Parts: sequence; C-alpha cells; structure tokens
Amino acid sequence: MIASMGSTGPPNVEEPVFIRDHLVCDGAQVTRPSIDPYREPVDTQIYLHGVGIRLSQPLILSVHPDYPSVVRRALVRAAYNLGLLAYIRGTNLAAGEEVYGGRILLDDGSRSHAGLGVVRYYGHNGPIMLKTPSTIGLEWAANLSWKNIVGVIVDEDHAGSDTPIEVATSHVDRMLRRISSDGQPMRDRITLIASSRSIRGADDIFKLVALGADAVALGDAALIAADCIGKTPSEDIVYERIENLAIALQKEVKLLAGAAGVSSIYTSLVGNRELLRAIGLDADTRARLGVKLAGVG
Amino acid sequence: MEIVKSGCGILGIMRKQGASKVRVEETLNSIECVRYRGSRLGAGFAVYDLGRKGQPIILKAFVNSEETVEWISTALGEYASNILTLGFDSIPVNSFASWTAYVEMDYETAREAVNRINSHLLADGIKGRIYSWGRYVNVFKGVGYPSDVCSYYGLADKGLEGDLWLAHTRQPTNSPGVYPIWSHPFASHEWAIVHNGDVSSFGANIEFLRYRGYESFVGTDSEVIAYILDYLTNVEELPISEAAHLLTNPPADGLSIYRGACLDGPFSVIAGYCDGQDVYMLALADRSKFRPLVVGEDDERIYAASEEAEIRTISAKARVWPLSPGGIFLASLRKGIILSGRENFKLFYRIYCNHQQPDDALDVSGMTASQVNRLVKKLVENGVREIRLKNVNGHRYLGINIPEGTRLHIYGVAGNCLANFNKSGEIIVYGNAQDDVGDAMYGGRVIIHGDARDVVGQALQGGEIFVRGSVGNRAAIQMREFHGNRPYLVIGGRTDDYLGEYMAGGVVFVLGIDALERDDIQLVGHYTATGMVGGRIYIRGEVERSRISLNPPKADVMQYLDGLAKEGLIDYAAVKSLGEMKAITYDDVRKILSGEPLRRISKLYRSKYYKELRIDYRMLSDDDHGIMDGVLKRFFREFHFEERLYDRLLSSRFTVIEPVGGSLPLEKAEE
Repeated sequence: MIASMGSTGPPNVEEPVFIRDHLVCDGAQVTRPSIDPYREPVDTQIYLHGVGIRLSQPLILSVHPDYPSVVRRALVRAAYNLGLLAYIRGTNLAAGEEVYGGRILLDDGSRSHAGLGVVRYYGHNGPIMLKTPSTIGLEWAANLSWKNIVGVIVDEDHAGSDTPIEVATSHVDRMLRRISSDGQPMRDRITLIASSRSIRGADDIFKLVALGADAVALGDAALIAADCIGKTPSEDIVYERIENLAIALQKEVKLLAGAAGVSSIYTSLVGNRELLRAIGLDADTRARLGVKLAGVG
Repeated sequence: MEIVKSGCGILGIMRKQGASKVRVEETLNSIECVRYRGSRLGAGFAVYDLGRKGQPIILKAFVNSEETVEWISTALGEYASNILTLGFDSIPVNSFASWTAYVEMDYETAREAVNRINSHLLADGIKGRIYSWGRYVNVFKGVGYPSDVCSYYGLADKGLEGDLWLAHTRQPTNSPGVYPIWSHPFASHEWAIVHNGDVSSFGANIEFLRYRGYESFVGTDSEVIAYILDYLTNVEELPISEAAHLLTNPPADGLSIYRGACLDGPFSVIAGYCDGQDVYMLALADRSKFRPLVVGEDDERIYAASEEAEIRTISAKARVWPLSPGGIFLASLRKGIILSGRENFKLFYRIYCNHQQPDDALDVSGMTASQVNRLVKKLVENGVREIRLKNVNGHRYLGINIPEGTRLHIYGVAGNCLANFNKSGEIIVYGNAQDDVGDAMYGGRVIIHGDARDVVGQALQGGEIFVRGSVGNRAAIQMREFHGNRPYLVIGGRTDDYLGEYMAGGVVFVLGIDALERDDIQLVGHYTATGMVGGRIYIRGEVERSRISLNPPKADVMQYLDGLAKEGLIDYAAVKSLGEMKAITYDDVRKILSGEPLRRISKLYRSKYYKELRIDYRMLSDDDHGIMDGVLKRFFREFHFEERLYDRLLSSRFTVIEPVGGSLPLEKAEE
C-alpha cells in the first residue's frame, strides 16, 4: 500500500504479521519525482532464463492441489492470457490445459536434484528449476553442477522451510551473485522466484522483488479473490475475478514502483534493497536482508 | 541573497582538433555562471590531457592525517613498481586534504589496489579515499563553490589547460556533502563523471557492482555511474555508445546480464574518457528528461551543460540543442560529434535570430536575477514602456508583473522561469529561453525568436506564447482555460515527449515550419496528450498513433489476443492483422473487435482514470479556422513570415487531438 503520515498500516498501528510488514519503501521526493503510471510508462515485464519467456509482470500464479478445479482452470487460463506463468503443484496437466502449456510450470516428480525439488517448464525438455525450502541452510549450493539449471524457486510452503521467505530470498539472491559462472555472477543466468501461499498483494510482491526475486508466486490470494468456497459461481465469473486480480496487481506494482521513482522493474527494482527501510527489525535480521534501518540515509 | 535553489550544475568543454587547449578560466567562468544551481557543499573539476601518454598514473586521495598517508603509501607499495609521492596539492578543508602520487602500475592492478585501499579507508570511520587514478585525467574537487575549489588547488595560478574539462557545482541530496569525498567529479580509471539527479536504481547498481570487483562505495548515487562506465568499457570492453545505451535504460526487450548497469530516476550526466588515442565527452539524459541538459558546438569547442547560459558565457555563436529524453551525446577530440543526442538537430535547432543588441539597451552582465528584476520594476514605476535588456545570460524569473502596454525586450538567453505568473504586457526574447517559460502565466504575450527548452507553458491559463524554434519535453502540461480566458501556445518547430500531458484547456499548435517539405519527420515525441482532459492540439502532418497517449506493451496485447483466439472468441486473422502494427492502440483494437472480446481486452487499455482521445488526421475545417486564424496570423506577423507560407501551412493536413466529449467552444478568437 502507499501511505503517508497518519497511515494505519503495519507495523506501527496494524499488527505486523510478516517480516515484510516491517519493511517500508523510500518514496519519491522532491529530487526524485514520482512516476504516474496512468500517464507515464512503468515497465513491469520480466524475462526468464533458459526458456525465453517474458512475464508481463513479476507474478506467477500457483495452483495448489487443494484448489477447486474451477479455480485451477481459471488460474491456468488467466496466467496464459495475461502473459504470466501458472505453477501447477503436481506432475501432470489436467484435461484441456495443454492448450495453455506454453505458460505452465510443473513439479517434476521423477527427478530430484541434490535433494531438492525439481520444477520444469511444460513442453521444454532440458532446462529445470530447483525448488528449495525457505531456508538459509544452502549446503547443496556449494558443489552443485549448475548445468541445465535455469532457476531457483524459494518456496516457503516446501517441507523443511525454517526461515521467513524475505530472509531466504535475499540470502539466495546474494549467494547466486557471489558464486561465479565463467567469471560472471551466477545470478546473471539464473532466475530467482519467491513463492508462498501467504503473499497478499502488490506490496508483498514489490518488497520480495526488491529483496532479490525476479518474480513472486502467489497462492491463496487468488483463491480468496475467486470467492468460491462454499459457493458455486460460474466458471466465467471465477475467471474474471482472477483476471481482475492479476490486472489490479500489475497496476498496483506500477503505482508502487512509480512512487519510488522506478520506471523499470526488471532493471531497477530486482535486488534494489536500497529502496527499502526497516522499522522494528533487529540488526541481525536487517543484515540478513541487506536493508537499512528507517531513518538511515 | 538568492534563496531559491536548483539542482546541481554540470559542464563539459572539449576542444576540437586544431583548436587551442581549454583553459581553467573558461571552465570556471562558465560553471560560476550557474552558481545558484550549487551550494557551498561541493564542487570540482576534471581535466584531460592526451599528451600524458607513457606517463605514470596520477593517483589522488583525500586523507585526514599523516598516518593515513603512510598507510596508503605502504599499501600502494604492494602493487606499484614505482611510487613518486608529490605530497599535498590542496589546502585542508573540513579535515581532509588532497594528496597525490605518481604510481607505475597497470590499470587492472590499480583497480584492484584502489578497491582494497578504499574499502579499508571506509571500514572504520572515514579516514580517506582514493578519488582519481588515471594517466590522462586529473580530478580537483572539494567542499565549496567552484571558485573556492579552484583556489584550494591554485588552478588558475598553475595556468592549467587541457583537451577536455568537466565541472560541477553541487546541491547535495544523497549525502551530507560536508566532506570532499562526496564532491563531484567521481572517477574510475580514465572515466570521470559529473551528475545532476537522484538515481532510484542506486541499490540495484550497487548489487551489480559489488560482485564485479567494486566493493567500496561512499554512498552517493553518482559514484556508481563512474564505476559502471569503467566496468562496461574496460572490463567488459563494450563500445562507449553501447555502455551509454545501457545506462539510459531503454525499455527491456529481453534477458540482459547488464540489467544492473541501467540507471533509473532523474539524471543528467556528463562524462569524460581517454583511451590513450582519443579523448571523449559523453552526455546522457534520463528517459523522462527530469534534469536539464544541452549540448553545443562552435568552430573551436564542443559543449555540454545544464544550462545554455554556461555555453554562452564562452561562445555567443555556438549552435546549442537539448538532448532528447533518453538521449546520448558522444563526441571526441579527433572525430568531433559522433552521436548528436537527438534526431534532426540541424534541421530544427539553428540560430533563428540575428538581432543586434541595441546600444541603448541596459547592460545586465554581472547582475544577479534579483538585481535585474529590481531594475525592471523601477523602470516600470517610472513609466518606461519599452524596456530593453542586453547581455542577458541565464537570468531567472524575468518578466514578472509586466504591466499592460509595456514591453520587455530581452537580448541574450532568458533564464529559467521566464514570465511565470505574468498576466499582461509583452515579453520578447531575441535568442533562446531556458526551462519553464510561462509557468502559470495567465495573460500577456511571450515571443521567443529562438527555441525554448523543457516545460514551456506549464499550467498556462491565459495569454499567448509564440516560439519560433522548437521546444523540449513536457510542453503545455496542465494547460487549462477558464471562461473567456483561453491560452495559446504556438511552436514553430517541434516538441519532445509529453506534449499536452494532462492538458485541460487552451490550444497548442506545432507547425514544423522548417520541415514543410519533409513528410517523413515526426514533429512530436512520445506520450503526446497522455491524460489530456480538455483543450485541443494541432500538429501539422500525420503523427504516428503510437506517439499519442500511453499504450500497453504490444507483447501484452498480442498475448491476450492469442488467448481470445484460443477461447474461440476471435479468429487468428484478427490477431495477425493487429500483430503487423508497430504499436496497437485502443482505436486499432476497436476497429477489429467488438462485443465480448472488445470488453475483455479493454481492461488492458482502460481504467477508472482513462479518458478517451479523439484523434483525427484531416484538412482544417471552418471551425478550425475560427479557432486558429487570429492567433496564427499574429504568430506569422511577429516573425515576419511570408503570406504564402501561411497559406501553404493552412492548406496542410493536421493531426488534431482532443478528448472525446471535450468541447472547445468555437467562438472566434479576436485578432
């Protein structure tokens, strides 16, 4: 959310729930004018390694096995139409999904890599993404052969997660920058995705991107937007709700970026911890995030 | 005392081949002309000398104590084959003095040494900083105004001259500025840069550099620009033009391993470089053009500056033009201008005005803007109706409170904020005017015989502004009208981006008089009329629709169309025909789709705040003539154009833009 003085947002008035609720963004100021996305371009597209896929915004729609099939169908269709990715937590497509296969991620049940989950782009043989629990214990990374690996998904819902997604995302981003691949930071050829069922909206997405994620996989927010638990809205209505959610998230990401004076997410926001400041976080957590205390220039 | 502050002031002056070297006095006089853009919190110079080929690296550091000097010397000893200590070259200011040594080592070793030494010097409080280490470049900077820094180092006494000079006067925004380590220029290898702006990508740039051998940062956004240029051109060996292209951050169109090198937010940068064979001057503007930047040349020199007045201090006859939004200017000593910073600069940016300064005009050279305005006020009070000022050079806030029947004639360069809030009288500029002409002006007339720069006619709400030449970015933004009070802005040349952004009233004309024979030239930049809610814009010739308003990325529209086709709602022929367009506007979509598919895809274009524009390319109607004849006749008369040119112009087709449902009452404007 964008707020000014007198805000009731977390962490000062509303109770903070997550680490990201303690992070605020340094808004634009006199010397750095805000960009109004209604009149000026704010580029939200993101490019993914290995498959040449362009996301229209840093957003992936997760499809968990417990979601009603009407929601699953809507997520897959909306992800396709809006230039996103649907990440189906399972190893197979359902009937009728193949037509949207160009924008689907699947768990690869048959393979595991260094004890981690493997995720693949449907229809692309060869390139894979590794899925790690949200943790800073990354012993697997040191001696890994990165051949064929084009991405890392930090998944807070994955078994073994013991660290908040914000800290783990920042940690993996910097680890990938430190590891060298032919003299260049490994991060240059690896896409980093932060995933959690707990992502609530554009502010969460914005903050995780600033902490180093190229894109954020959102979960139950879509289920809530579909509003179909215990009700039976038509397929088209569920689709429309999810489409509207994704379009609204893009508008909000643009507003947040514009307020920070950022006109390009892909080049200027990813990993830009300098735009964030922490309120009420201990020094250790701030250091792990790479975020300064609020009030520090 | 001047109390109104601006952004920093920047400057670059390079000699042309065969011309005399640039002297420190030229540079100092030029940057001091925009003293009000800076503060006592930092200034500096960089000078390049191609003649130093084969000489050792000049390594310069700010140090707070003899102990630090010892430490640096010892540390350097581990890297250099030979060190010749020259000692201090400036008097100490705010606990730091500048120390210099000649060191024999190769660049790669030097880069590594500087990184290590600087990391140590900042690790535990600020003990010092190596701030320059080139063979051909020498930086002089400190806390003070440019004239102060010049005397700290005794530059004038030394009679220093060079092939290229950069200069900076600083208005700190990102660091306190109390220590010289935060002053500009920032340098790395043979690059030195001066910057005006506030880079929002700073954190992403730091993440990019930190794992590429640059680990020590003083904490200002400007410093990273020098490191990025050094890294891209020297480590990655990209051509300068390609590195510059990355810095200006054009919309990403694919994966880039250099994305962290892109700058975002406001910046005007002037940079110098020497590769041992040639000396280069590079100037960059951000894509929104949030900071001023002009470039120019005459027979002897090539210039880049925040304000035209800096150039005019040295050269009355230089041709001067502004960088386009996201523009790149590159020139070298041996090759001259390599990239001009914009298209068609020779066609549109020329010296239109050859008026001689009258002998009896009041000479305002050496006067501050306030002194000039007090003088004008006194003359007005004494009933003088024709006031003539000569040698005007960047004086700001002129033309305020000019009474009815009074004319203010300005010979020279009118500074920023001309005719702001003015309501009557006439202001005539025989030359160019800088940024922000006629802001919130609500009456009277401004006539500019040359060009005007950015944001001309912002919130203009009455009266007329005539510009013979071209204007820059964001002309006529928020222009509005009230009952019986309709403003007119007439531009003889062309405009850059955001013409008529959230315009609410009044009439704008863009005539392209110097390009009447050229159908291939676009007279406006991009994002024309974004958020426009009232008034009307006439642009001669057919404006590409992709230059009007703000459209969603074509890739997003194509993806959605593909989805609609998959659902069987449209056929692939429709997708294909739209795909052939350069940019897909809402108008284009509506011509092909209707009903449910149109409703669906509209979401990519429309929102709560969307106001549709009506865009026609057509011959002028009687109604149009009713609106424009009077004002255009006055424009043509003012600049002494021939009658047949007027007829020719009015028989052209125009792109006419206004909001749908917006109404421009067709009362005939008085002549």
